[in-house]
Amino acid sequence: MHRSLHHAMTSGITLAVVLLFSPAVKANGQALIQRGAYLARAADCVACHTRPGGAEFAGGYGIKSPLGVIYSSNITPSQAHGIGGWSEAAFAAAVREGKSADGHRLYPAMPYDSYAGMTDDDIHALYVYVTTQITPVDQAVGPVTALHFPYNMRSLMRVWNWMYLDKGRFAPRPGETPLQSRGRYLVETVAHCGTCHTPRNFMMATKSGHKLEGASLGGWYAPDIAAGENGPLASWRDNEIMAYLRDGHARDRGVAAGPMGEAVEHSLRYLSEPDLAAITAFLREQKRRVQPHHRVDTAVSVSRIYDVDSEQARATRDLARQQRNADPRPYADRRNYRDIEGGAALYMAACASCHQLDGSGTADDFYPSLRKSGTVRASRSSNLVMTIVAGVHRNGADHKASCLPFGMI
Amino acid sequence: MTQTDYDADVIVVGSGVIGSLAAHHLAKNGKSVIILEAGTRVPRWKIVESFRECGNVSTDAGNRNQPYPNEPWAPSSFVPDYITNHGPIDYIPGMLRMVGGTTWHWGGACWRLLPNDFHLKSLYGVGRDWPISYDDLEPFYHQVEIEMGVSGDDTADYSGQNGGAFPPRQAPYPVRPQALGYFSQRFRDRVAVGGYSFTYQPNGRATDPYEERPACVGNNNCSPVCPIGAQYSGDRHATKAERAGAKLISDATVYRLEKTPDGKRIAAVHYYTPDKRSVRLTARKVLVAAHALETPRLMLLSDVGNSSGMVGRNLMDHNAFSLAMIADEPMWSGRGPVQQGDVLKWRDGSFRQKHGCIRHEVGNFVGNVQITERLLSQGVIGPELDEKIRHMAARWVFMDSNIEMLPEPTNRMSLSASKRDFYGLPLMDIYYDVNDYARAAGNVIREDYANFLKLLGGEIFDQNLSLWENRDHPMGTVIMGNDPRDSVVNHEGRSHDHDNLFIATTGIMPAASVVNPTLTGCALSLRSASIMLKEI
Repeated sequence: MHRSLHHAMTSGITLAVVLLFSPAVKANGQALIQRGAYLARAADCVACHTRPGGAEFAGGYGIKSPLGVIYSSNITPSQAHGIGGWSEAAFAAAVREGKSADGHRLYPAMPYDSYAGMTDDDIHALYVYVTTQITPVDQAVGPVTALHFPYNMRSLMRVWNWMYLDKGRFAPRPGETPLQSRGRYLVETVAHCGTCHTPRNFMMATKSGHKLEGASLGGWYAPDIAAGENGPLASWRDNEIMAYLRDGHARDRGVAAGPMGEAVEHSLRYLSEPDLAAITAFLREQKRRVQPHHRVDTAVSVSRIYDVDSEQARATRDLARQQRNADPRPYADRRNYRDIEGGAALYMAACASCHQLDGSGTADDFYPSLRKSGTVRASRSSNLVMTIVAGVHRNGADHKASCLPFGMI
Repeated sequence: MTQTDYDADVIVVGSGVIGSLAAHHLAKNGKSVIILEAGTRVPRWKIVESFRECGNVSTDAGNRNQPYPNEPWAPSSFVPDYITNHGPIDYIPGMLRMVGGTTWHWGGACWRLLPNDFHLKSLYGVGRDWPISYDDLEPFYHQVEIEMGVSGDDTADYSGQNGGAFPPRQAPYPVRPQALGYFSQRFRDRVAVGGYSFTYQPNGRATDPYEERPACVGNNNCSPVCPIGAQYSGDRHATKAERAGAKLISDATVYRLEKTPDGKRIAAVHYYTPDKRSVRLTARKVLVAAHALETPRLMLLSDVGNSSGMVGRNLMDHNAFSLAMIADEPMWSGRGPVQQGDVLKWRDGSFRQKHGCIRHEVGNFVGNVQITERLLSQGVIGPELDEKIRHMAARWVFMDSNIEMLPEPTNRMSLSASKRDFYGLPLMDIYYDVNDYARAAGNVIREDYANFLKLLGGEIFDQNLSLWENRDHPMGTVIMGNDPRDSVVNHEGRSHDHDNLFIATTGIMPAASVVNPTLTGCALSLRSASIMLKEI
């Protein structure tokens, strides 16, 4: 508290903040700070504003965009290098309009086009939290964003903003339940799901009319997340969607890896149950006109974990045996294991120790089932390939998950 | 004239855990590093597949080298003629020749030595003192534990005296201990009655996911191969060294260290490729980390670093006995890793004036294979066979003991007079015997085994109290010391004879203690690497 007070005084930020620490409004102040902290989590500020191994919020993380690497800024309340001297209005302009306090324009790698809807109250809570609770890091970011012409002309962002930035603030719509409107606010504004899940046009703006329909992202594919009629997630139960967001996995549905794993780890696992329910309710409202490409399987997953005599297991084993019998040499002479190959052998040796011979995983989903996994069954193989190559490294609310990056060993 | 143009700042010979850790440290700090590895590179899944197909079904009784590569130019240690013996005790340790080295098939034990282990001569009047103390090595133990993700018990007294946490550490273990399996719990409780403590074994298995390794889930297959890579193995740092910029050349058998004309430095490293082409590389410094037996072999082949005549001598292991019993209650061994703890009653004390210290390692294997073989040999078949296998396997208790050995110059590896390798170079011959100091400890083990049998209501399945089983812990062969007349390397791991030659292997350890030497070898290697860094 002492440090915060000292900081508030020296940086001369608004009187309101100083007043927070008078006994009368202390409880209110605490609630405000907690709300700001929660919003910072929900908006996942830390993920982009922290360099791997660096101080939290001190920036320097390189976001790889098709236009080049964009480095995040230091948003700690450092006077020299962060946002220490910023007024709340300047802060709001940066978050909601992509305008830095010194007048330069931000690139939409900072999802201000989503944050644009953030309410004044939330901006205030976020501002108080960021400027009073985060340790200032008096250190320059280091690498500087340097895109090629014409993208290096930040002033062009004015045009972009004019074309694509919707400056409307969030407000509940008539007929919406509180749950639905909260869900819409979280998905479209705070948690900025569309930043990855909505496809972008050639100007890197999200395509209107294609909200949350899925988009490619550095080798990964952020899929269509419509959970309403004909949506790919229509068959997921509410508790499965919530568990996926909170823990990063839901049995027989899928696991969060890559950027989604990061979203779970840094942000989604901290959300309250009502907020997870609100997101789920909003996704339920998303409908699609056409049938999803992938099959929705109704088969029940095997219940016995170590049932190595199942039909599936026997088939896998037989296939490996056939491949071996067709050319037994690699197995007879251990100098030749460069020749051990074949998908079945590879699966048995590299995957089955965890996911089991028949792909059923473990009953507690510590090792996920592959048999009905959305990742395995997707018509697009990007995420399966990326999972195998890059592995899974994710802290969910329930446990830390880890799958080897087979492309790197 | 001073040479200014080199192929690398440092050439590391050997890509096992000891060489790779040093290579990684040097490369990470901006040095150009070449790692030369005689063996080949194979991904884990192929080893797992090879293991499943090779009929080597017992983690304990089988040939642990069997699932691994045996290239003609880099055979593993059990290939006939690779090592011959002419002494009273046959000594051929399990050893692999491939990228990552022998930690592909270890039990993952990651012990620190005790402070007293460094002052054996001063304290107990036997063996040799180290030229450094525990405090000199502690920072490097700490560093290695973080690199490898070592799990340990921060409250344990690893000196076996049931006191407070010991030895001193600058920070807690980076990985929390794994919960004890039912077997370990039952064993602990049953032997406690007789005054024996069961201590959690520090190990390189990930209790929680660590870096790129998933958590151990108890495949109980740590050796011959952890199928999911939860257990640390040297290939991790071979790969990490490469990512940090080191160049790793596999299938490159180093056969000669070339001296400068004045003999004071190593001018170049020569290796053969499988097509018998010779390649010469130069570096500012050379780190030979090629195992406790292949390292002295290379030095003898090159006539390097042997002014003391000690290269290849003072071979030590932890040779001792073992006991398999059928306890009076189901113990359910075989869940979790293959070893979880030890009895350290004889870890340290004034008795070391008279006999070596002792460590009883409690195995957590399943005895199905041995049990089935025994029953079949007795003619048991049909439903009775099934029932007896179940009954005995559930009650199976196995332990193997380790004894401290002292350095004896007569215990030595020398170049074979008759056996040659793929390139026509002499292979290895070993003379090995266990001295009276270790034999005296054998009598203590006899008494302990009798006590364990009583405490567990055990029936002997197999008790070996006569054959000196080796523990694959070779040490002493390129011994460290202050006096260049009776040691090969100084306290830095630097050759007494060649200023730019460093040796990193458990072979430089001048006292064997009684714990698996890998972590100590690694700490010594990082210490040498940090010294090299300052000089380049």
